[in-house]
Amino acid sequence: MQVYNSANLVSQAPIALGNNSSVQAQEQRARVTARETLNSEESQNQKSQADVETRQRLDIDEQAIALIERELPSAYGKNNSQQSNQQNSFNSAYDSPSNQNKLAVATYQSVDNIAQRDNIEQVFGVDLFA
Amino acid sequence: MLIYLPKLSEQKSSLTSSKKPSSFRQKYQFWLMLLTAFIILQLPFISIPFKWLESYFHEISHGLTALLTGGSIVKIQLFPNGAGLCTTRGGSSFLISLMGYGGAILWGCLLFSLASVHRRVAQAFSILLVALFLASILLWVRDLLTLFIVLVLLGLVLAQLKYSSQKYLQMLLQMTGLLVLINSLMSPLYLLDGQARGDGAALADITYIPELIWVLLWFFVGLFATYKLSKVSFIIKRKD
Repeated sequence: MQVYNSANLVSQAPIALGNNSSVQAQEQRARVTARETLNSEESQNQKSQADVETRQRLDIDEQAIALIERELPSAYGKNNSQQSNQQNSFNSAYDSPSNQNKLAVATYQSVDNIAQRDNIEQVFGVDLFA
Repeated sequence: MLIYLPKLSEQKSSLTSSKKPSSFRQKYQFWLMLLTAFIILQLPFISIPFKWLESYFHEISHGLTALLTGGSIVKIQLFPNGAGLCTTRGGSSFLISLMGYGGAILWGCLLFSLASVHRRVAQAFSILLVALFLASILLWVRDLLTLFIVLVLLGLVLAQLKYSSQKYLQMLLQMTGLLVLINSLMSPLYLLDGQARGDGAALADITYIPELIWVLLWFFVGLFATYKLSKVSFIIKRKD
């Protein structure tokens, strides 16, 4: 930015030598433009600082988030596992059938076994004795 | 040369003292052995080979009946939980089914009574058992688990033969016979589970007589055999 301004001034210098009023006006313009450029530079600097600050703030936030994320899953996981265990035990307790139902299932399966035994006996022409 | 001759009174007293405990032993030895066998069957690990032995006698009875009635044995399977399976071809289905539990009772009685007859008979019967195990391994065992179980049983009988004097061999065989008998007495009761499977169900299918009747028949035959053995053992002891 500074280089650009000086170039402008150098390019405008021969014109200033011919006319004093115009030189003054040009100087004023130059000052104004310089101030504007300075202002713009300052504002840009401020913006960049603000950006950096905001970035730092974001960085801090990210760290904090990372920390929270590290801590939370374990605690949440524990709770989850406990909950899932409880649920499992509850479910298993809920799912365990009564003896009467077990007997019914075994009887049902034994019918299937008898059918399988008959099939084996028919296919191989043998008798099975338990 | 001095020869010590006991007085007549001494002779009498020694005779009476030797007679009294022997008669007590003769009376109650069978029941004590039966009680011991029952306790052994309640022990967690020690009882396992004797359950296998009963299972083996059960399956081999199915197989031998198949052979005697014109059939053949395809294979014999034994399982660690005491279950077994005999696959046969041909023969009388009725007799083969009947002789599973019936044969195990017979084997128990045979073991006990032959071991009670004489020491030499006990030894000969042990050798016969070894031959039966070897024949089973060669002819009818088709899987590793059954092979392992039969080898354990073979080892049991060989150990009885080798590491015990002939007097203890007799007693050990008697005990083994009682263990087989108690097992075969109790095992038909496992058929009363409400599931129509096993020898009782097979007999019910053949004869239309309910499974319960067959189970009760085996149980009471086992009880009767136990009672008869107690009498036989008492007579044999008295003869000795």
